[in-house]
Amino acid sequence: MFKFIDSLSLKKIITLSVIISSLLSIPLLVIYALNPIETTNSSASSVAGEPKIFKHTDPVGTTKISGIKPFWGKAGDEVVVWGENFGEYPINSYIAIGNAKITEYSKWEDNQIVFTVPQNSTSGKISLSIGNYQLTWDKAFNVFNTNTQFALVFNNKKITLVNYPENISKVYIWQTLYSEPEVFEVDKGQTVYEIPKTINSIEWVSVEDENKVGIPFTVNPLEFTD
Amino acid sequence: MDNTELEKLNDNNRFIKVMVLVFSISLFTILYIFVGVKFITARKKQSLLLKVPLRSLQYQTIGETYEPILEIQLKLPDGFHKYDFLLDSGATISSLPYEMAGKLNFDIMTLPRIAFTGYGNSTSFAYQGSMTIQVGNSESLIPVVFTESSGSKYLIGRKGFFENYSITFNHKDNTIEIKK
Repeated sequence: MFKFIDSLSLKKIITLSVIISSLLSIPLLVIYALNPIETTNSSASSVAGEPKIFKHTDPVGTTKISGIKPFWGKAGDEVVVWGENFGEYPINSYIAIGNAKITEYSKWEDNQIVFTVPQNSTSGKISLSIGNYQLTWDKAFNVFNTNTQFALVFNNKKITLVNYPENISKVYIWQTLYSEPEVFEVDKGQTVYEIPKTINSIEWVSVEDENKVGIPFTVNPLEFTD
Repeated sequence: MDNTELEKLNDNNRFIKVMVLVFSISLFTILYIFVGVKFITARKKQSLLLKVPLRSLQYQTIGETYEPILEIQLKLPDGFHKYDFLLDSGATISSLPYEMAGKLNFDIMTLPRIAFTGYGNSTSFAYQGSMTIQVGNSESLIPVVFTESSGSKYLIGRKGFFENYSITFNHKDNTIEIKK
């Protein structure tokens, strides 16, 4: 044994230790490799949102709203406003539903704005303010919530009013955003109203009470899809 | 130098050699185990969940193409059911046609609406929910939107899926590999 150790040079000692350590570590690594490992699946929501950097550009020409889609929403729903010369996130600019200012925009481009209906907002006209300039869309936007009982059902060229309130007065239906509305005077005993055959699709609906105040109603989005 | 001194010197040399041997064996063993564990852990984390062939589709205009369509188990209230999904790395989020909302026990009227801008700046809307899918033996709850159009494709998009798996479209071998 002593002779063996005495005969080893430093190079041989290192070579011998490499061989012995390999023989020791391989079985340990095989045992580790055969044991299952617990993997964690990181949640999609854990991806941290980077702060958005908004570029502010004022509109160049006259601002115009060409349309708003769809005509209804609940808190958290996105709504698209399209038109001309909106600028890009211009300073001192906002959209409001009635008097409720919108604070959440997922897009504000020169020809399109996408905003989110805020919590606790109510039905009303949508207005766009850019600096001192203000534009108001002439039709009332319908905001409903989970407590809204009144439903407007559209199928087979008929409008059905379900659980309508006592103070309901008129239902306005627009085939296109710029056409004259079809107006239905609500008869309290009648719930189903025939739509004229010339109307193939409905772009906008609003319902108002005797004081011309908008009444919120729920809709099934699929009934108003193009 | 007498014999006793010579023997003492030899003993010292022997002791040093043994110490070097023990030290280097320990050092190399630790090094091997450290590198080995790192390598095996990385390989385990990249463990293969699924390897399936790309699906051949024949188009009249462009001829044969190979599509990354996967049969994926989708969890419905009565258990898992198989559906064909297109793995779409270009889609931000997974999507299903609206009729699937009902099957997944969602009321589309209560789901938050999202606006999408498509070709030619056309705008469409979809309603956000979630779905549980099973890939290999791995279950994932991922966000999904229900489109307003019936019969639209079943897509698996990036959010919640592509960002959590390693997915390889291997068109040379005509396979899709999904690794954790």
